[in-house]
Amino acid sequence: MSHASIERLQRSMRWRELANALLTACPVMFALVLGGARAGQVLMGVACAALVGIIAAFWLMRRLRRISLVHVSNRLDASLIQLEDSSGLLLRDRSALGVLQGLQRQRIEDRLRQLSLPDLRAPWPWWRLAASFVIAGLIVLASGWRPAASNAIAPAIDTGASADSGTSVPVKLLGSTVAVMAPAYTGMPQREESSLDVKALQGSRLRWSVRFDAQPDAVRLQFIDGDEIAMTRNEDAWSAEFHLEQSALYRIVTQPALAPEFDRLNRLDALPDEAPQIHVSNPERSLSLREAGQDRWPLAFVVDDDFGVAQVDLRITLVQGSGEQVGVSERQLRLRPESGGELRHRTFRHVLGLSQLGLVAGDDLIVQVEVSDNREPQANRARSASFILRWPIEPDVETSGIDGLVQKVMPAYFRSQRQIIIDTEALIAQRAQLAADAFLARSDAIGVDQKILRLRYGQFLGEEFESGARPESSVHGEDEDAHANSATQQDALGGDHDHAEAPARFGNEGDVVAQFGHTHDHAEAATLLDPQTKKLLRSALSEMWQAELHLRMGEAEKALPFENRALDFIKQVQQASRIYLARVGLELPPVDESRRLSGERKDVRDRPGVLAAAESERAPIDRLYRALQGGHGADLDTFDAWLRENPRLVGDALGLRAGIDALRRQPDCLDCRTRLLDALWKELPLPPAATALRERPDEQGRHYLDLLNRQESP
Amino acid sequence: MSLQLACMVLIGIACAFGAYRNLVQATRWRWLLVAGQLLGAVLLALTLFPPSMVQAPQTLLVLTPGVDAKQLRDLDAGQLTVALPGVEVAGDWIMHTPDLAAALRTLPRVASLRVLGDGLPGRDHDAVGVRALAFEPSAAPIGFVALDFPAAVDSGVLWRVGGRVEGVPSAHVELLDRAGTKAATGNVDEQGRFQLSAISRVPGTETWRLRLLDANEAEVDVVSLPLRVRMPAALRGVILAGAPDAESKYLRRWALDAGHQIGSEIRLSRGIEQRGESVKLEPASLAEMDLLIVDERAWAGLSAREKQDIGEAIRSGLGVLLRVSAKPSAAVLAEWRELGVNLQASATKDQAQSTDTAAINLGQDRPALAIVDAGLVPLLRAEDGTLLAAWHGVGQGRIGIWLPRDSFRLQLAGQGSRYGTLWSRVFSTLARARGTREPQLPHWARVGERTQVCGLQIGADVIDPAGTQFALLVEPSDAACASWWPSSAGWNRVRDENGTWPVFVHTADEGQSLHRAETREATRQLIEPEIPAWTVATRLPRWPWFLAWLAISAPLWWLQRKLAARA
Repeated sequence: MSHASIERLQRSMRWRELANALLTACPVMFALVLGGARAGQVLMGVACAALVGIIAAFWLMRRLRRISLVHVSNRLDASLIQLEDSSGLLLRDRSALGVLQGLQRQRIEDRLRQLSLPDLRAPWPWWRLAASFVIAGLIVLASGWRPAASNAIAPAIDTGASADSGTSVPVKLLGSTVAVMAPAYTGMPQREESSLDVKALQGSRLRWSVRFDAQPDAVRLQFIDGDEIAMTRNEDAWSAEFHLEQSALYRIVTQPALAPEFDRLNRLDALPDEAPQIHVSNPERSLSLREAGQDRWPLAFVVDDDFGVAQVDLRITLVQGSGEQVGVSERQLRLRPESGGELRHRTFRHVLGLSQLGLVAGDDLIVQVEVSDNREPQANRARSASFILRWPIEPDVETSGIDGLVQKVMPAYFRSQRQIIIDTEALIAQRAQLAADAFLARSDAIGVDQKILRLRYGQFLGEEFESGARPESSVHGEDEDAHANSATQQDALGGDHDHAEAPARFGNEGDVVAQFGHTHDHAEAATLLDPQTKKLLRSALSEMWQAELHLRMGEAEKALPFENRALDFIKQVQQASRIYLARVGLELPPVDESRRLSGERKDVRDRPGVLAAAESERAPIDRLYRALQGGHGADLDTFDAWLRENPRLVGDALGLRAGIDALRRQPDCLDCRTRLLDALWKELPLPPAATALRERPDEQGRHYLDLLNRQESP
Repeated sequence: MSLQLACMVLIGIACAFGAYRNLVQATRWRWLLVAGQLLGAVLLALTLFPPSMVQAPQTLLVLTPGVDAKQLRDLDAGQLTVALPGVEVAGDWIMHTPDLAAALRTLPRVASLRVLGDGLPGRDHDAVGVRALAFEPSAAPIGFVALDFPAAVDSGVLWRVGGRVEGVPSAHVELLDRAGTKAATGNVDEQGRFQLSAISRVPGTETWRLRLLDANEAEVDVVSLPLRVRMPAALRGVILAGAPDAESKYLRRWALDAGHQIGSEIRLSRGIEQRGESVKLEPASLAEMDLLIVDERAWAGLSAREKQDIGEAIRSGLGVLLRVSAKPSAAVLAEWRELGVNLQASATKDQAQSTDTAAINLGQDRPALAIVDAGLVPLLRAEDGTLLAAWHGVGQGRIGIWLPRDSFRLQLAGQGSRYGTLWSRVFSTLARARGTREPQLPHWARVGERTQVCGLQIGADVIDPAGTQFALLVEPSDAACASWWPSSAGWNRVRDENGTWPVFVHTADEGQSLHRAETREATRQLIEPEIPAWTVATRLPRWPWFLAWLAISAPLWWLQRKLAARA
């Protein structure tokens, strides 16, 4: 069957066409898919490749259809002259042919069998193939060089973050881990956080490891205060390290910019290592009197710390003599904990032998517990209140008859102003032997004593006092808040009038005062002392302020005169020796005897009332809240600046700043607005109760009221 | 004359006329003709006005949403039953109906209804008519069944939410603010009642949430409490005091901080005064003033002319509060009696001032006087129910009396909000009525449920949270109400020419127990104790009468024609 050879020829031609088409189209398609994947537009690449493939398929179909058997026989006739233009006969049915045609067909068939068949396949389209490969190469290159590629493929996304990334493809965050390495002394293992918001102990080291879907050119961590840390690339991951000292907000900045959903402020919370807490269970009172025959003074206390108690010292001060012959001796005793307790919760018991210490009648024995934890580089120190054991001398007989009116309210710890002076003098004397740091630390410690003393005197003037534990609100007992509160409390030790510190987020600031039962900004609520005593105490307090200031700054010499003057004033109070509790609240100014009953009204004038409306220092919060709630433009920048200036006026300044940043980046984001409003709500100052106007009755109503009135009056 | 009677008379006349004519013609058939005519006339009358027949009344069983499985199990298949939308029940004898009125139209014989489930929704209330109603509620809803909270408050005031809970033993409730912080918590008492309070903040809208927790701290129910916080108003007032005291000190401080313009004149000595702003008691300045607070010593120091001017000013709208710091003189008491404020001496025991700052009971310190409450409206009562402050209207103005001397102690105890709330109420009650009229907004609107807004201007519309506007069709009457079917939950805004007011729309599934309890209560209200005897009379159909009339009339006509032809 020789027309089988024609079919064979047809087949080979068709195969060649197929190979041509595949070789031409495939490189371009492959390049499109690859380029799309590289540019982050996989779908787009696949779609383009599919388009090219479809075009190629159509083209191929057309070509294949053209290569019919007739076409092949024509080509055969054209290339082999021996076939005498008759190869077409081979395609026809033998029986349908005439006699001559049959003969010719037989001839052609014989000849074809002898002849070798020519190669009728289309030649390899070298130019086309070359062009295809060049185009493919260009596509791949273009996808690597992103800006050009994105012009062609991706729609431009303006992140607004930086000018140069305006038209680039945003980078997406694939994953991130933050390794948190707590300080070694805590003994806490390293942990991994998958979130970019991290809470870690102060002093921890943080190591970020971040992966992106496409490799950016540069990545850095940008902190809200302007600091930056460049991240380094390590194969796929970008990493950076940071030493966490205080809470901060940061964002990951890449070049080109991150996709907007990942471009947000993340939060680092530095949790402070709390100072140890001392609970003295025995003695129960700060002043105890020696009972007859008592020779031992048992002490018992418990020390708690969050990461372990390092050392506990007992400071024993023996004050002997009276009047001008007061002698003070001091010693320190390192205590060992009772066995069985864990590192964070230690129980201590110690018994002091009184005769061993040389205590005699009229002496005071003062003990104080000093504790330091194992924080590094600087240990947290805590000191308990002083506990005094007094060996009373025979009491003087009081003048009888006015016992009911007189109360001895002079507390025992009034004496410690003298103690502070003695400490200061001793410190100054030792100055030469001490390193500057140690000197400052000891001076500071004396300053703390001075502060405690000042606060205790302040109570008598209706000032604020800071006692140890606040009752924990049962409703509001979330751990975190308690943590934060005590931290700020710690800071407040250095500050002055920090009453508004860490407002309880109970929603009602007034309630807090009511709960603790203590106001001091109303003269009507102050403790009642006679003006003379008040004046003396106030003078003493202001001297103590100054003394504390200098002690805290390590200027013990400068503090000394203030301490002495404070002691003077206290002596005067003590010489008055009694405080009469006034039975009447009102103290009238002294009567001017020279004008009394003279009827002289000269120089007596109207007094202008000087009242000014109160301006809350947190008013900007209120203003921003109203503006945001009203939906009109809010001045976020001014508020942010205010927040940076006054971070202590709000509970969570960092959270607010993050919210402001989120809203500033996406002004249309309703969710961000709501979140910011929620955060602001917590900080809103309590407004004074406002009043609404009654609805004005209409014409008929007014007429009715008038008629009622007229009926009543006759 | 009714239509029926007129028709009868006409038919009668026609019949008489026909009978006369037939009788006149002396034919053999005349009596037959007359009889046929009479019969035809009767049948015609019956065709036009078919008789009605008394039928046995039926009872319809109505299944309403909330019907429980037990009630469904006890259903009787023979009973005439309809199911309202929202009831999922299968049974070929149960008729599903879009509303009750539609069902009753097809069942005219229904004279009494037996309602199972939570009761009839509002749209079906009118359909009940005078039918007897028996209501068998399903198991009581679990959660909040009653809530009482103000729709609008002033900023900075202590507002309260009270309510009742059912089905949750030893429950407690929490009031959460918009940030999700607990503002107040409280236990639910044995009757299921509770009360919480919180302080409103900024003018605008606030959405609080009330959570009901069971003994295991699991959330049982949560509802949103939408609160409109009104814009604060600045009042113009004057405080006159005969001597400086703590009350006027703290009152001035609060009024100033709250934004009021308060002038004050506090006498220190004869001719020596402490003045806040210059105070003039002349008709012109009194007409400008909203509130005058005056104590008995300052009142005694006013001239007769000034007192007369003040009396005139009250009649034209001024509010006056008479503060008593000590027992006034007889003359002052007499003058006050003329103004309608009657005080009489009372024996108050010498009150020891409590030093407990947490529990401040107002009125512990007050002069030994009692208010004679004839025609007075109470403003403040002591713990034991004694009247401490009251007011009454004089013309367009109001005059009040205030006995406590210790309200300032609230400030000292740190209860500034309680103090402010108290005085804010006093100020807004007494001060001149200058406020504008506000529309009556729905207190609890729900998605997809009809609600009504009244007091609107024509052309009002609603803007939903997404910003889409819907026009409201305001009924042109005095009430000027418009119906509204809210479509999206959250703060919608109702707007007309006078302003914009926020209205909170709850989601359809919020406060289900509350909704069910309301429906039950409303259904119980529908039960009339005495229903007049109900007779179901149905009219017989017309067509048999008509056919009978045709059957008589046709042969008569034929007979008459034949007789006429013969004649």
